[in-house]
Amino acid sequence: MQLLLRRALHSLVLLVSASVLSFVLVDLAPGDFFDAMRMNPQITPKTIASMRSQYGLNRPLPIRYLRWVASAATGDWGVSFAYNSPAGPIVWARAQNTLLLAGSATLMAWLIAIPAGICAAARPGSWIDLFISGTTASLMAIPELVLAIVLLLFAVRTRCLPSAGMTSVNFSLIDPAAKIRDVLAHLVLPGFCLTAGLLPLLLAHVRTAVAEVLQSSFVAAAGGYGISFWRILVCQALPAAANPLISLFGVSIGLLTSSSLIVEVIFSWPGLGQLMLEAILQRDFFVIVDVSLLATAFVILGNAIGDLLLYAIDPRVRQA
Amino acid sequence: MEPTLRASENQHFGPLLQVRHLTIEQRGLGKPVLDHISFDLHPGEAVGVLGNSGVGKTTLTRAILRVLPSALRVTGGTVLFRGNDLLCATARQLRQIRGAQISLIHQEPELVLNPVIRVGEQVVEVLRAHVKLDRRKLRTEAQAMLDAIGLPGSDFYFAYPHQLSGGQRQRVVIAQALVSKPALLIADEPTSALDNVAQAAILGLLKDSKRRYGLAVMFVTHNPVLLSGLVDRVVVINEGRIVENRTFDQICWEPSHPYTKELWRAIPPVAQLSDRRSQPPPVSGAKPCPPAGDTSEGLLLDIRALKKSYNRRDSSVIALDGVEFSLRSSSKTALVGRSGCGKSTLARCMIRLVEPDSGEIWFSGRDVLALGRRELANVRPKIQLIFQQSSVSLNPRFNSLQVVEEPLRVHRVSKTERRARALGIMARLGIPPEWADRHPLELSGGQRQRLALARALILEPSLLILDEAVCGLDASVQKQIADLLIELQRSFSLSYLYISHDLRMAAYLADDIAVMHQGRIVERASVDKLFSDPQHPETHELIRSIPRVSECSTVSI
Repeated sequence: MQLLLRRALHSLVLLVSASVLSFVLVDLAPGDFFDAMRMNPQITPKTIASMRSQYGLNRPLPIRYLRWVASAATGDWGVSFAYNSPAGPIVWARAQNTLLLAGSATLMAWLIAIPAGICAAARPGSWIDLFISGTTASLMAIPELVLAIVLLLFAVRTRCLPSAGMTSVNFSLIDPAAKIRDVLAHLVLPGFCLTAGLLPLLLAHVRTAVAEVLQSSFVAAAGGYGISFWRILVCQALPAAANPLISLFGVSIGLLTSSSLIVEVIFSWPGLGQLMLEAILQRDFFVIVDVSLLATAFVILGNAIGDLLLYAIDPRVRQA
Repeated sequence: MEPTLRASENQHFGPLLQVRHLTIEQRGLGKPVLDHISFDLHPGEAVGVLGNSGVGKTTLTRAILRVLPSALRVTGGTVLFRGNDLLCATARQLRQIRGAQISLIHQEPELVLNPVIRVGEQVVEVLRAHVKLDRRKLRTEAQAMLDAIGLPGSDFYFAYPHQLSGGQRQRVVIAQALVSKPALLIADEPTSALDNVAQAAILGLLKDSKRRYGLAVMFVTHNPVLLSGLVDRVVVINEGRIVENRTFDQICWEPSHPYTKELWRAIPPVAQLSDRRSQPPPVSGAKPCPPAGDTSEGLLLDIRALKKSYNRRDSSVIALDGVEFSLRSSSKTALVGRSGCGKSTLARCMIRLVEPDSGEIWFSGRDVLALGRRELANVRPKIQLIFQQSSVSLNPRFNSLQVVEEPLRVHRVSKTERRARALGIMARLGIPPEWADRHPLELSGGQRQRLALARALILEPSLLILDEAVCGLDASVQKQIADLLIELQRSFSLSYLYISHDLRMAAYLADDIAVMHQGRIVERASVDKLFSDPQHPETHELIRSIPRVSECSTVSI
């Protein structure tokens, strides 16, 4: 319980400092949303100045920060200049799409990596090990961008899968079951791309962790007591190998939400990536801050989940 | 359908295990690791397998259970268990034998238990592999086994390995080995990682189990004293061959082979301690250095009311509880206590590898705890610490010469002088110059410990702290290192503090013994006085648990 409290406090401090940092950094970047309006001859400098003061941009940075914190408390999280509405709801709607994409890709990658890694570790040097190591190496060697472009080409040529967006044009007209099918079909390509990016890392770690435990004395001893190999693998080696993998699981959650930003832009997935790109181009101050804070929160959350799982599974962590 | 080996259990008469001309070779090595090994083991009989490390004892135990590392290959012979050749058995037959009929106890109890599974479950796991019982019955059986080997109650059943002491972990391993009632128990150095008190308890447990379950036992060790009262017969192995195979009494009182005699000679006698003083020093010829100035007569090290506790999340462990301790210059002192009594913490505090909570440490007139970083760097070379595991305390990437000269590099001595001094000190410690290019892991344990000594002595310390520095080595190598230490102490006129759980070796090495118990020095006396008139109960306990040949009091061992 004390651990949970300390952990939560720790996360809170991290989040606050991340928000301060992103505030300062975005503010340091030259220009703001209203600079672009100066090019427009129909808007007078006076109008621009009044708009600035309306959004409080003429106030000093600490005041702006405090006002943003106050608006965060109401759920607004500042204002999006481009959409002219509270930034929080906009960001959150997009974040759900990102979570759908990143979450399913993470799940997929782990579902493949664990059994494949165990098989490779159980029979080192066998054809299955060679096949898996080969796949790992080649996936690692292909840059995500190249893979994405190849996938896009495939989708456009064959027309068997939608290549962009999250829904079809007629989405609002079809029945619920067809809606789910439609979103899933759109999910395939970006999901595949993300999974392929994460998979080699996970595979390599699972294989190494299990192989290392299989080398250990207690596995040899268990074999000496006549326990069958597969039983040792599942009931003894796997729990012992879980420790480094759980930490990796936490990291992989944080990693995916940030690496998915690129994939989202390529496949026009209406997630945080798109939003972030637009916001940066338009200097939409609070949206940039909110999105980067959310990405930080994902990383922190991922690590916290990993730590808690570790605490639940490894008795040595609990004790120390 | 292949016949199950269990079916023949009651029909077979004669030896339980018959090893005939077993020969094992290592790939790429001309000489066999085991060469025509033949011996019998009858039901209920106990046989000791005796020999120094590297003679092939462990390989023999692994070959019987067919768990050899892949580099080793059986090239000839048979291993008959109840008349069936294990070397021809199928994987399925082997699974039925391992753990159920032949059980193996490994050397390192801290490594052979799964760290993330409760020990009770680990005992259940062995049983489950051999009998078909429901969950509840399995648990009851495992609990009964743990009760029988001295870990009673559900607290132990639900404990994780890291919550147990070394001796308790070894008991769990024994419970695993015995839970499916095997006919043969092979114990490979089961006590070498334990302190003397725990060792005595485990040996007692093995004797007891042997009687209670009618077990045949094969006990593998390098220390002949441990076999006393446990085994009927001893097989002595040297360089892969059996050199003697006779009863324990014969091996003990009339050893015929020179190798067996050498094994016995390596054990320092306990009862003849006073004679040691009249003997000439083992290696002589080095002339003693003149004592270094005015500190030579006074106190070298003085520790007052030293306290240190380690904080865990829910509890704190008191490692040092007001230690009062002092050392004179040019003295030989031993600090003895069982595992976990705070010996190592005390040693680490002396050079501030561990910062004590309170207390004072005076070293040749200076308050060590008050020193700043730079002054501390000047004092530290005068106190050198040698660790137990030379395999991990020497940098594996350095060759021997680099290992020895590194301390000088820290003190900015020129390269040519470094080399000269390193080679000089290595020569004095009997390290041949051709080792200079070898890396620590290519050397044996005893050779590495010599290297560690050279590395420590090159800074010309006035105090050498040896933290279990010979523990884990073969008895004969321990003796060599000990003799070397005694000689070095004289010729360098330094003080050493030998820290150990082994009172026998401590008595051999030191004039003065301090006994440590639960973070305090409970008794300090000269060796003779400590043995003739021990005061504290802990001292009694330590003296009682020194392994010795029990039956006969006429011979003083």
